[in-house]
Amino acid sequence: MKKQFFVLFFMGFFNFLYAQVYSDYVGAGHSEGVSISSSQMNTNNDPLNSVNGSGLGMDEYEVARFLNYATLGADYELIVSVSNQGISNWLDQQFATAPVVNFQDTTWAIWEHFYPQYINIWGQNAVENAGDAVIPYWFYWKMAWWNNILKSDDVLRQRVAQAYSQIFVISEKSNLQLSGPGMADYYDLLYQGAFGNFRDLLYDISLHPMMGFYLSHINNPKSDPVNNIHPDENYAREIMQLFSIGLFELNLDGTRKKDVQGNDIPTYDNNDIKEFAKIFTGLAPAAYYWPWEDYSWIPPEWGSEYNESPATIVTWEPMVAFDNWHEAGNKTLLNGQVVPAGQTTLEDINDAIDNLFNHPNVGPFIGKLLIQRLVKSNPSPAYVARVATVFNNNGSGIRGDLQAVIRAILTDAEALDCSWQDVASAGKLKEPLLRYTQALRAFNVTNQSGRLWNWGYQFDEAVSQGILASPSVFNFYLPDFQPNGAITDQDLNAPEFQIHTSATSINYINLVYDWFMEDNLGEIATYASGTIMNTPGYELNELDPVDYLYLDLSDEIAIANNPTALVNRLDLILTGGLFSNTTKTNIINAITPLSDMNERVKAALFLAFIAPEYSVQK
Amino acid sequence: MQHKHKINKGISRRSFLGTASCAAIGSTTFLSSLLNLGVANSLAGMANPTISSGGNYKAMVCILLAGGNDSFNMLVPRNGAHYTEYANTRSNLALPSGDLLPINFTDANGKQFGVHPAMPEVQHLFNNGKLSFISNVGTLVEPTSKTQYLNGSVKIPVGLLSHADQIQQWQTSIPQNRSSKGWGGRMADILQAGNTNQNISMNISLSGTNIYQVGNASTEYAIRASAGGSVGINVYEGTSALDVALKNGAESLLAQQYQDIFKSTFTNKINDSQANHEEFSAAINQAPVLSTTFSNNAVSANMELIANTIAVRDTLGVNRQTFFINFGGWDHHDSVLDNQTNMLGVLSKALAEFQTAMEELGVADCVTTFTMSDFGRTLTSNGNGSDHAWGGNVMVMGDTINGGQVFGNYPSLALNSNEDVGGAILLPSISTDEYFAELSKWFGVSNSDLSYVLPNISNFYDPNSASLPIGFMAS
Repeated sequence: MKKQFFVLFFMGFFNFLYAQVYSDYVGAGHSEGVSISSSQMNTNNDPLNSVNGSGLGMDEYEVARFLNYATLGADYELIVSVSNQGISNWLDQQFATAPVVNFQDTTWAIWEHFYPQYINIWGQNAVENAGDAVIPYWFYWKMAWWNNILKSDDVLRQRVAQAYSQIFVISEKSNLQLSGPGMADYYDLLYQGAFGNFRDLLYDISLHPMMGFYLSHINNPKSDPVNNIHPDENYAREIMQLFSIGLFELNLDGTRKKDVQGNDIPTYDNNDIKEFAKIFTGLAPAAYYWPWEDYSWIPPEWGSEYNESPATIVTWEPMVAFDNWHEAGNKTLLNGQVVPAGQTTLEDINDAIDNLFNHPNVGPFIGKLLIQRLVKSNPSPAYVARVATVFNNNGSGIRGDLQAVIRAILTDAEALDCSWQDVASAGKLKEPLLRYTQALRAFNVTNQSGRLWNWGYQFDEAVSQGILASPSVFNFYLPDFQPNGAITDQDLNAPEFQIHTSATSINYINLVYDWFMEDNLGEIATYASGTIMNTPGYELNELDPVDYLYLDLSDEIAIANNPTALVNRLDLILTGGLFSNTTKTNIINAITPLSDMNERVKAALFLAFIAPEYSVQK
Repeated sequence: MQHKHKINKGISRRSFLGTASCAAIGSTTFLSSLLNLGVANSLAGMANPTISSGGNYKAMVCILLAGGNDSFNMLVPRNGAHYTEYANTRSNLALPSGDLLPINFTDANGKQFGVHPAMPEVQHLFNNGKLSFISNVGTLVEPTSKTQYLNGSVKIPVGLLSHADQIQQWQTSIPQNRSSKGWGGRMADILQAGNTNQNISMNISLSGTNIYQVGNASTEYAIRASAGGSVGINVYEGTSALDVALKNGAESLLAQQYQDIFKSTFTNKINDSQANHEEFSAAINQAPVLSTTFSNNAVSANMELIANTIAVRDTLGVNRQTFFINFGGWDHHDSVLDNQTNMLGVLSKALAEFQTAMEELGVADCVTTFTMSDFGRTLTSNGNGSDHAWGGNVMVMGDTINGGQVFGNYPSLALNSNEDVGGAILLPSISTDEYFAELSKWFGVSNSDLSYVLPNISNFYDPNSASLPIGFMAS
């Protein structure tokens, strides 16, 4: 590490050169094939190169920008490492990395850490007789998510899973909060399937009991005309509108097809919804669960009272079919495809999933949503078309290969070419959650106990975002949201601005102050509250010192005597070189009078995190 | 599609900025541009606000029941054959007739009504003339009969039965398009200029960004009950040398003018919000302590903060305000009976508490509260819930309204009736335009501006008519 300080020290000079960042430089921005060969990186550590411009750390900037798309936050070591191996090789390595964590296992482990404490405080009898008081609620899953994403090195998979979680939405803001392991298992599905096939993902989420509860196709019976009961249409609608094809027929490039009158062409109508509703009948929980009684021997039964709540079922196994409760008769799917009468529930569902999966909309629809999550809010039609083409055929004749799709998105010229930085429509507002994960990951947050069990509740309250915590199935923001002003005037979209309000925009600044100036980096909860049953305590001043979160800022403190070098380093790590000279000067001017180096670094971080260049990815 | 662009071009912010003072734009961006827009509006003949500052205060409180309230279990026919029809159609979702809370009203068809058993406060408000229902309201582009709907001879709303579209269209009242501008925002485009205080938006949201309160030149100001009001940058209040240094640094960063529209949108929101906070918090700190007590839940807490804000209207220098609450969670495909019992109970109490507070403040005759929701729900059951439908029942409340009535024609609840367009989905008999036009006119939107606020209104109602579209407003 130490060697790099020289480089950064000299970045005061380098800054001068760096004013040219928006223009081209060798090796930057033309990396469509993306094999940035960086064997010369070793020589970059020679400070001379920073002055004479011969070696430069230029591709470190490009890599840092790329890692803003591809991770939940990269530290300096990762930036250097990816520079050394090249983006393409790094992607190969990430794609080849099997899932390294299991969110459900971690959730159970955390709950099992608390459970004995509840027993200790309240007594076995009180705990078991207080209804659902001490069940493994949602917050153990939240702690597990934070713990795992902060620790694991399969950073691309983590980033992609988080992106999927905003497309295939379920939320704790529902009765799903009764089952932390269920939420975790659903997330495991997104995480483990991140680089798999879209068809499998669509099938798996459709059969997941948490989705079943969220969009109410669990316990959904066939129609009963005598009693005016019809199949529940909720999942039938949303799987089409949100998870696969969208509302309108699309061209390959994501623009809408038009009929002869020039109108949009709906992909489905209410009759189609009714047909798909019939498909999703007959599903029920696979088994039952209760924390302190063995329910596993109870056979699953249609209409059982245990079926009604995520708290009393096994939420980590797919729903099972009760064919007697499945709508008999044929069903007409999209494009006139008829599912014959008499099939089993799962045969019908498989046919319906195939019907949607093979709809030509999926590539452009899902492709554009993923681009918006990972790279930019307003991809050009050509970019969408390139990604959709890969969705349709990964080059080996396979449709829906998400690994190929992710690679196409991340290595597209429109993602990597720095000339896009000057284009008004380029870029996106970085989600508050990603600003937070980056703050913690970029500086290697840790604690002595190794329990990074962040609750994330106050963060959510402040900025309206958390993992699997949106207010509805429409995520935290709509893909076509337009904030008032210049973005609307140019008819552009900027989804994340939907949660950049007069309250959240200010709360974010206050959070940044808490993180860096107050050393309050999260709500770590490791002990049971003494006052409320089944509530972890997380008051900062009551924390066990071994659980106290801290950042490793030693590298920053070591160069802080040179404010310019410090700010350049933060600019590299956090934005990939997007700070304007004015922004750098403003930060430098503010921190230079601070003589305590620790304080200077924290002040620099506070200011860097509220600079618009940090929150706006270009 | 054409329509949207016409509106935007007619009053686009950019075109005003072209004619307005550039110096002002450079300094405080949106706040001053609101002022400019006020001037520009008059120049453009879009509006000629005649509201004088001081006195004449009016506020509209919108409660959005997001998710689609099953409102045919909120307002239920309770007598004879009418109840039987209801019970037959709703099957296992029907409330027992004995549980309904009777309200004193009989419609032209002899229908008598009860409200949901969780709503004794609403029953009381209705029977005391403080609250009315409007029946079977929904999104329509133009007057639509069942035949016209079925043969496709009229324009129908895009994305019918879809949450995202219908919740948007209730806020825009332009159901033929997808638009991100709402009718409350368009009211503010016109009426904001009448407020003495031009810094704080006329439109105040308790629930963050929404479409309803965003106009072509206006946006909402979000406050939070959990924060006790507006939110400000904490470090700006610090006095230590370090905090002052941070404040100066932060201000220098946020004051930069960015060509980049993402960055300028980012900083404009922060700067405007901080300026608004400084004013708002100074005012709200002077709010009197109300003797009305509010329940301990988020909806009541929001209503209490609205009451406090209205209490300091003179300090804030406003005589027109809209408030917006998003009360979500009504998408009861499942367990509709239990869920509605909980949620309608919360709503009912919050309404009564707010009305009491308005009476305590002496402003009940200038504050109108109204509800909206994505859509009504299918009359038939899907097992233990109901699905997305179309027309639904809404509530209006205040001393400003003709209380104790059910307006509109409460539809037949028989299957395959003239209102049932298939699948127990009810064709609305009153458009959102008519509903909102009546509120807008009361609020001060002139006849000539009505079609700016509600572009489709003349499909349903002559803006120059001497009578009101529905008749629920008392004046």
